[in-house]
Amino acid sequence: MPGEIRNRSANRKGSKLAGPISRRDLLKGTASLGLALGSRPALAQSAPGKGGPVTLNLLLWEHWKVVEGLQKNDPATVPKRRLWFYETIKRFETEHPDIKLQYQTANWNVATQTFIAASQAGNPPDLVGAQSQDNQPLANAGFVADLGQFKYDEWDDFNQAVLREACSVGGKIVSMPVYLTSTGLGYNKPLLAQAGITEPPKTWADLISAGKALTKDTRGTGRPNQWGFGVELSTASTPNPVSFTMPMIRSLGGAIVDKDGKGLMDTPEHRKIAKLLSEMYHDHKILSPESLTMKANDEVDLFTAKAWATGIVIHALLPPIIEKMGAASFGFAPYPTFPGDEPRSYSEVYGFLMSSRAAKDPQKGPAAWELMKEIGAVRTLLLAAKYQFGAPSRKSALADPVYKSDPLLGYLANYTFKTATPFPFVKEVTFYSETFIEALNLIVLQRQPVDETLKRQQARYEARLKG
Amino acid sequence: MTPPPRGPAAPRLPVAARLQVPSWSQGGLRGIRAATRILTSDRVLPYLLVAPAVILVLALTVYPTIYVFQTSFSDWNLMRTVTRAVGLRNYVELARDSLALRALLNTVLFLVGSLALILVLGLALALALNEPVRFRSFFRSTVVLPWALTAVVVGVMWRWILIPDIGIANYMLAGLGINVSFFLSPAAALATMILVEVWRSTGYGMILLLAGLQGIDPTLYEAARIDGAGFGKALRFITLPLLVPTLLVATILLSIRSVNLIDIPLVVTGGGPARMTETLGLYMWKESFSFYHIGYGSAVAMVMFAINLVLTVLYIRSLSRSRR
Repeated sequence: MPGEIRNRSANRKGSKLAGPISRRDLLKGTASLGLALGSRPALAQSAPGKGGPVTLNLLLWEHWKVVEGLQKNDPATVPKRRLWFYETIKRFETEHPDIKLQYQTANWNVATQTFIAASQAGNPPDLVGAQSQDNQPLANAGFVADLGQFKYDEWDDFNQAVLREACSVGGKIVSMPVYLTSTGLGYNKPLLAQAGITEPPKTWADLISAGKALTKDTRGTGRPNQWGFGVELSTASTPNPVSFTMPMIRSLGGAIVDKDGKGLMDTPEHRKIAKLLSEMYHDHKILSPESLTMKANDEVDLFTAKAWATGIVIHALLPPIIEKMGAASFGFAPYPTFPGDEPRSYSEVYGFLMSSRAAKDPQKGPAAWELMKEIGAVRTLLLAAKYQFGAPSRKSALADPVYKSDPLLGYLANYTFKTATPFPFVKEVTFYSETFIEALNLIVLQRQPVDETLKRQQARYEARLKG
Repeated sequence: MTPPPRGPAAPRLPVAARLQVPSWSQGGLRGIRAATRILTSDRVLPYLLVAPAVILVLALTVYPTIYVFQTSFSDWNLMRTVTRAVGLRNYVELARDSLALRALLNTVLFLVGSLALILVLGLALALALNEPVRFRSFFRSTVVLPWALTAVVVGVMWRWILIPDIGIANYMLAGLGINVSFFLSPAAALATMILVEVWRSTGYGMILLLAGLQGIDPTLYEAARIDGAGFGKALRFITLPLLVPTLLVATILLSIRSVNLIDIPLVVTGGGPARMTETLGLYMWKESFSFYHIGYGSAVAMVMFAINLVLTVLYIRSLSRSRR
């Protein structure tokens, strides 16, 4: 009888079941059962036995297109230039069978937002790949870990400028740098040869005269479709235009940020480059209009379609450009300079950050650090060099014979190590970038007065900082 | 048949008392029966059936709206850990921001331009495909096909067609000695966005209007023809007046999409050149998810919500007036 079962149970455990069951008791029971069932996977994941498997979640850029290959163990689905990451992860998985990796992806320009939103919700990915300009806000908000808490003897081997300027915030290292890529002047070798130009322009004055010879209307429409020069200046590709024009400003002795982290755009150097770009567009007519409307990475198609004869390009894009154009047709030269200055470049520093939450976890923290070390290892950099022309972030890697095996690779590695400067930390960096690029667009496209426009946009940015 | 005789009516107890199960052995089954009777009664059952939908709407629409409204009075920034209440400051800044006002103007221009073209072209197509022409089903499907594509895919496709120096549009126009800079001037870029939206949504407008046309009694046209009315007069005096409710529905749906639009401008122009083709939706997206100013972005979202609310109320009023 049900009654007997109930009474025996009640007597044995001394529970409250002896009396009538109220709705509240039923609800409590149901809720407890629900909670127990609902928390089962979480418990299973967060409290494995000591030394048992631990799972790490990685947030990667979607356009890398590596996740499917990693999940299916199929390198054929991975773009060739991303194979360095695929091989690194596979090697790590083989060497650390107790660490399981899970992946999520986000578009490159919302990956940081995704990480922030997940951090604010209390469930961040354990590791995230990001460009260095995002490191400071992430660190200041307390979302990422100080990597100095982990024992590591190899920090001295890294490019110290990169480590200090791009990967550290407030003296604490927060990002493990991987490979570096730098900006320079890409050029179409056959087009230069056709125009009788024997070597790529070294200065801005050289570039203007070469650009005039290279700008052509090959379709007979009365408007050129082959342009002497191009550079990302579009608000649709924020913040690249700031990075890509930064070497110009530095070449004039200027800076894009003051000592307090306030972004600058109303400076004599900014005025000079805005004027120069406007002249290139209106007077010399060599600047591709596409520069003002393009999106990030459109350079690949603009070069391969011969719409750009020369242009500022980051060397991470060289593999797809060379794949389409052939190594004999595409050249990469130092970023042009102003008279009396040495070549300078902007260097994109891509690195991996660990969430504060993972670092505090006694199991995830050490596991995540093992993966971080592998990502920053010399052997990973050599793979990045092989597949992506990645320049090394470590001194010992630079000495490896692989950089001597290919002249272009060796050139890029040494050029980057010598000339590149990471993007400095700027307060409200995206708003700053967008505001400055908008100013350049207004000056170049609409011929708005240089001084007034830059002053107004600087005030607009500063007002936002105060808010 | 006569109903079975009933005993004296039992005293009606409160729900809680009726659910109270005296003990497992005696009252369990009775309690379950009582609960089932209450839950399936005419007074309770309808509420139970609609409860899942109501809960979903409350959780996914009403609560987020209230939350965004509350957020719009704060300076919540994703990059800061401290958030303060700032009263109406976000709204004041919004009213002063020339970029926001330009975004509002762009939204209005986009709405008016795309809506007018979609309705005119949609009506023309609906009238044509309402006739018993050959391959009618094929043509109807073809016209609707763009609507089935994701807006982002449509945007990317059109962007690649129209990119000045490498797109196929200028390659073909070069034969005529023409080269158009589709994205370089704000007016051309906005017109391009409208063109893309019209290409995508005309089929949708046509389907709505076609449904309206098929609801019109064909005898009205026969009577008009007997009275000597041609196509123009039939359109003016029969089709359009009877199509007003459908037109209003189409207008509501397309207007709301235009006000909330993010995908097409984001993909086609990115808001450029010089942020001159940003719509309110894109402006809100940038403020919230590019600059991380969630508080300010929420204020923009509330303005968009208010515009949608006003539009919807206006349309519903005119709809009910036209039905009368």
